[in-house]
Amino acid sequence: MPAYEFVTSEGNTVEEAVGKALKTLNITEGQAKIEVISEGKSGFLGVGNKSAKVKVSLSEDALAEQELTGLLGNLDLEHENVEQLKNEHQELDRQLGMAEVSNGRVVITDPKIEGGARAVIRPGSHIKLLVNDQEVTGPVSVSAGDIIRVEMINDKPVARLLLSFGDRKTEAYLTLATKAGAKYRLTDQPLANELIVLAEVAETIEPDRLTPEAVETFLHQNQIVQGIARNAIAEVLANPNSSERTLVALGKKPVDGVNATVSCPPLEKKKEDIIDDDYFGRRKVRAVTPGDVIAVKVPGIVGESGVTVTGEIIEPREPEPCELIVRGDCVLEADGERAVADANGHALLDTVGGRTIVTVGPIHEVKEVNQISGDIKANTDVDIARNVPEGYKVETDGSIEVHGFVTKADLKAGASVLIHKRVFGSTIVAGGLAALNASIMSMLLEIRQLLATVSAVAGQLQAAPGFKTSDLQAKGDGPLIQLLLDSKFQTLPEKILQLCDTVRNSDYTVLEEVSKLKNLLSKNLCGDGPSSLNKLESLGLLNRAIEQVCNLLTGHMRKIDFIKVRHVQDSSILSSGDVFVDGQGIYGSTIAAGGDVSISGHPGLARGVRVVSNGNVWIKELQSDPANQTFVKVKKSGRIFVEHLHPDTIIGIGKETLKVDRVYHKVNAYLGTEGKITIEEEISC
Amino acid sequence: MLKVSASQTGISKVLALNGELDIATVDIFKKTVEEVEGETESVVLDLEKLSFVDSTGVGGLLKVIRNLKANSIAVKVRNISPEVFEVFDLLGLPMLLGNEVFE
Repeated sequence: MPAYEFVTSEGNTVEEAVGKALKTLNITEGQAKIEVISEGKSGFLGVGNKSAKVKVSLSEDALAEQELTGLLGNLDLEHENVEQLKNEHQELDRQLGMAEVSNGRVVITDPKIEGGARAVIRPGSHIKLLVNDQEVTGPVSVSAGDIIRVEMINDKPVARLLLSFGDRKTEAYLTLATKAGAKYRLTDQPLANELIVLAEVAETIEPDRLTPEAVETFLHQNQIVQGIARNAIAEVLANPNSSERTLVALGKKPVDGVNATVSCPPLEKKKEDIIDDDYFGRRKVRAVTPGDVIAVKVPGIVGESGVTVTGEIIEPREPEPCELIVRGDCVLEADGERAVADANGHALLDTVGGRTIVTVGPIHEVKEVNQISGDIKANTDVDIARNVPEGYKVETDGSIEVHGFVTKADLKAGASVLIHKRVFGSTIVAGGLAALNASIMSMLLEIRQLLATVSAVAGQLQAAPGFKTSDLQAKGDGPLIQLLLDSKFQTLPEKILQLCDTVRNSDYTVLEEVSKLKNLLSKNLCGDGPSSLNKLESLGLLNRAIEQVCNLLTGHMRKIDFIKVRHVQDSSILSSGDVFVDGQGIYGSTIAAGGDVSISGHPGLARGVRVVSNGNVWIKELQSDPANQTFVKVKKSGRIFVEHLHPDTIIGIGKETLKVDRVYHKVNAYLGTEGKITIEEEISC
Repeated sequence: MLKVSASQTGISKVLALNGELDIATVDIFKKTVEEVEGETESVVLDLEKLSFVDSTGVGGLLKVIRNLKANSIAVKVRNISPEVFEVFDLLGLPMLLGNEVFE
């Protein structure tokens, strides 16, 4: 009999090491418990060889047998008894209490020896186990005499209708969620002292098919009575567990009222071609004589009420009234419904929000702006026969017409501006505050777009595997926002500061809301401001504030004022409405227009310019110059038409920008269906 | 944890970053750069063993690189792991600092 409990041995291979150990222990492989300590490795040409190492001991069975043999040897018993005892020893565990599941029944046997451990059973899933009519949920010892009952917990099939509403409850949507059920039975299991009673699926049960009638009943139970669509119900039933909701009932959306407005009969008489020489005349009310009707109130239109799918009436938005105010030689007639001229003169219309101001006054005529005339300040139309020279200002609530040159001067009109000769190094504003509002609006839209992208990139960053957010958990999202505005989005604070400058340097007082918003934006998004923002959601809040102010501004931007010039150089042109350049073209200047921009003269060249338009843009020839890259931007729905488009210019539509790569002719650029800029060639502009 | 080890290769000071550049370690990094700043015209940041960055860490790194460039010290970033580069890329750093900075 071996004296060792185990031996470790080494060899070139595992087999060799095991062989040595077995020899030392004088046992067979069947009696051995073998543990491989290392596998061994043969190196190249014997270099780096590593021997295999094993630990070998007598297996537990063999050990028990050996002990018994030793014991019996001492007792000097008969050989049969040895065999018998050995078998009994091997069956020792079978003397414990046993449980089995056979033919769908739990069978318990008691231990065969006195004081032996009883069988232990416990329920698995889908099983309700009762021992002597008591439900058990954990392990319990049982005897053969116990009454053991098993009940199956079956899964019921599910078919549920999910109801949701859309747009002011004028739409009802349904989806059908279904799940098959199952009947279970006991799983047969062999004898064991400890047994988990398990169940297996005997039969799956499909949910009952819902009938269209049942769905209608469901809708009625939910008070849905309006516009139920039978074919949509069939569609819901045919597509259970669909990811999309199906519209099953449709009420009626209310039609909102149309606000009252003021119409201007003299204006409306002459709506012909867009661009001709008479354009300037058509956009304002020209000379009036006493008794001429200048403006008439157009009553609002009452809307139509709607109805929800549950049959409730939705009141439409009431039309808002408008206000007509007269100034100068002008009176209100017919209970304030009409503005009529009271004297000879020029009439001006100014509409902001729901209020229209009609002014009739004489034309302010100036031969030449010079030391004698000084700066011109008026509240009616100004007509300048010759030039506006360096350093002078012309300001009026009405329109300005200059028959000569404008050089390094400042022209600000509440209405339109017409200049017959060249503009150089000057600032021209038409539409007054409305023009400022238009330019503020376009800045705000840019800021809003950038902000939305910041939020998106912040999300991507947080998901990046190389990025830790430990500092954000401690300090809030501020450091992340600061980082983004210091890096990829450094243009955002720049744009905000630009907005602040525009507001500060303007001669007009902006809406209080705009002023508050710009303070809010510069405080939170410029300099070190972002680091004290606690949450990314703050960006969303700021964006909502921008949106609100933009909505407000739309009521304060007029499009009827315009600027028409022949030739512009190194100047800034700002119009609440359209801008027309109908001579040589425009160089090294900026145009911001609340309406269309047209550069249509001969050669009609736009070079080194920045054009931002809220409408469409027509340009004969567009190119960059080395000092100033040309950039033309319109809103999402806008179009850019160019007869000769040169490379290295940038076109922006909505939030997309495109650097032009080659020469194009007769181009129509717009935002295609996939949201990318599409350039179509060879169409007539 | 962050370990910054400095060595000299040709005219360049090589700073190898090992560990995580975050709110807890960014000052170690800034200090090491300040120490070598006066002695060289070229700094190489070896980021092979930089495993993570957080906003404060990468913000500090950006500031350091901008400072160095402002003092006419050439900066190169090399051996950056794809994970950390993804962060840099999302922040537009290659465009901001110039693609030539990244080897």
